[in-house]
Amino acid sequence: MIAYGESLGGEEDRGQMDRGGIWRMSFFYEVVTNNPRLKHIAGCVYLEGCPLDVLAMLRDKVHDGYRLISHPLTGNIPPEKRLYLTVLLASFTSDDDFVDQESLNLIERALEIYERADRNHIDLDPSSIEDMQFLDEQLMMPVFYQYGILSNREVH
Amino acid sequence: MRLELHKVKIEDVQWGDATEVENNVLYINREEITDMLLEDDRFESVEVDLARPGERVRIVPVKDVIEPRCKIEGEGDVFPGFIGDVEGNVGRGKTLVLSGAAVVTCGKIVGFQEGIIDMSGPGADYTPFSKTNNVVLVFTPKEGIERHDYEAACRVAGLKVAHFLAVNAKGTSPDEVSLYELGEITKRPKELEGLPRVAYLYMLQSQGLLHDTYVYGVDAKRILPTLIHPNEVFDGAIVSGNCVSACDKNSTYVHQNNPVIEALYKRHGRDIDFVGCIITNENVTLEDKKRSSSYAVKLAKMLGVDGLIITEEGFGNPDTDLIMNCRKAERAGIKTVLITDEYAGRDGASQSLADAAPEANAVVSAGNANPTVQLPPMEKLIGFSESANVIAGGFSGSLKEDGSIEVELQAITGATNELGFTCFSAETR
Repeated sequence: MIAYGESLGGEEDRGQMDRGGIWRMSFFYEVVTNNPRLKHIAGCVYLEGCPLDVLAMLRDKVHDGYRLISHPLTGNIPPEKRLYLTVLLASFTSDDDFVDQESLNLIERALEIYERADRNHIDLDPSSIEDMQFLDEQLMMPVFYQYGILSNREVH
Repeated sequence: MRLELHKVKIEDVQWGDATEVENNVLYINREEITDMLLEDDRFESVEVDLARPGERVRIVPVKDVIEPRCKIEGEGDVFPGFIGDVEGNVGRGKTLVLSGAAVVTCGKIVGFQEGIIDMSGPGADYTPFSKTNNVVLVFTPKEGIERHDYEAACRVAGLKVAHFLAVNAKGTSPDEVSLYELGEITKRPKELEGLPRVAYLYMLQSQGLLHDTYVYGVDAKRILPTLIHPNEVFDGAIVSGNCVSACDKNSTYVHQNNPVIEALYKRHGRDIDFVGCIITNENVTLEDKKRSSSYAVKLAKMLGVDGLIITEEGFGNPDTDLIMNCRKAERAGIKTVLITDEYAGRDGASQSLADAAPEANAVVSAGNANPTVQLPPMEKLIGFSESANVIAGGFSGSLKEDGSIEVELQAITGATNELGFTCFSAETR
């Protein structure tokens, strides 16, 4: 878990958001993924499982006060073929009862799509598995840079 | 802004001693093209091949399709930021078009996100690019080249060849000249008074690396929504650089021939006042989605439009942007019509989009991407055949021993294109 608070200079990084008050609070970013390529990222919750497992964990986290930063359906990969899913969340520590309805709706909708997909025939060759991991990582890279999860690299 | 498209009809493509156009035939000097492309040291090899309508040829995996064009009069050149300079603006003067010809690029960038073009048989009915005379470029990268660099190299190579073919046809008299003229927004002529003002909200794929679209060479992920003159689009100001599902990818060719813009031009002055285009992006963060949709609708309000046509590219996460744009526009008092395709399952019974809203009450569907189609074996294959097994819409075992393929429509390039550049139509009686 990476903490972004005043002492860490998070306020400067997110200065332009610093109007409504909410950003002034200390908050945490968390990455939830089942993609082994992203295990190494600080603040990453890695789980072994399918995208449905990732979505289930996201839903629990939203009920715990987290908010989605990235969309749960990135990358135009059909749900019946998708193996990896990575999502960035933020947690606001000031309000224990906070449940972000928008995040919840997006996750519920994604769950519906994954639950109805016929995932019985996922039988991809190793190069496709590598492609899937790679693509999932690549889709999230700009987000990680944008939110300071990773740094020191030029985004293509 | 006034643009003339000087269209030379290309009825055939043949190998020749020189790359040129004569009597509506495009001749290709294979060596000349190969040498030009191998100047890029990211390629191990480049194969140049030809595919004509009706031939028993399959092209796979297709990355992009580009129409050969070049400027013959006016500022800059086509594909500004890649081929043309970004000094000045395209969209004025005269542009030469080799109509009926296309450059098709093939590469295994991310195997499962590329497409199939069959030049004959049942698959040909689903792709508009079975009707064009295609110059196909197959790129093999040097070992160790990163996939972004491979993608960038393929993208630029396709644009280079498309431009080169048109330049070599300069001086050919056109078979048809189409005129596109749209005046300043604040100085509307009297005959437009009383007509509903309509703009086009043009959503560009920008979900992340390898999912990008470029505007004047700028990655659309990094833009705020902005205005673009429709004529700039015809001159290649928008270039595809993405590896999304083949069926609803907006190839560069489709941007260059955007049928929504064509239709709005046709009705301009008749029953609508076509104001222009707003381009916006489809980023993955919710913050970006909110910012871009609010900003795009604000621009529409500033233009004082009564109606917006909204198109998207891709499915899943972009559906959220589509619906946000629609809802915010409708709530601001602007009527909307959305154009999309559907992922409604093989039987068509599932919900089509990943998002929905009651405000989205006028939607045009470009078709369902999930039904399967049997593609018989072909005599000749251009590209890398094993891709059929991993392509989106295909599945392990898709490629049969006899060379036939069973795939969902989403594997076929342009089958359910969300700008409506497709072979599908429907009629109610």
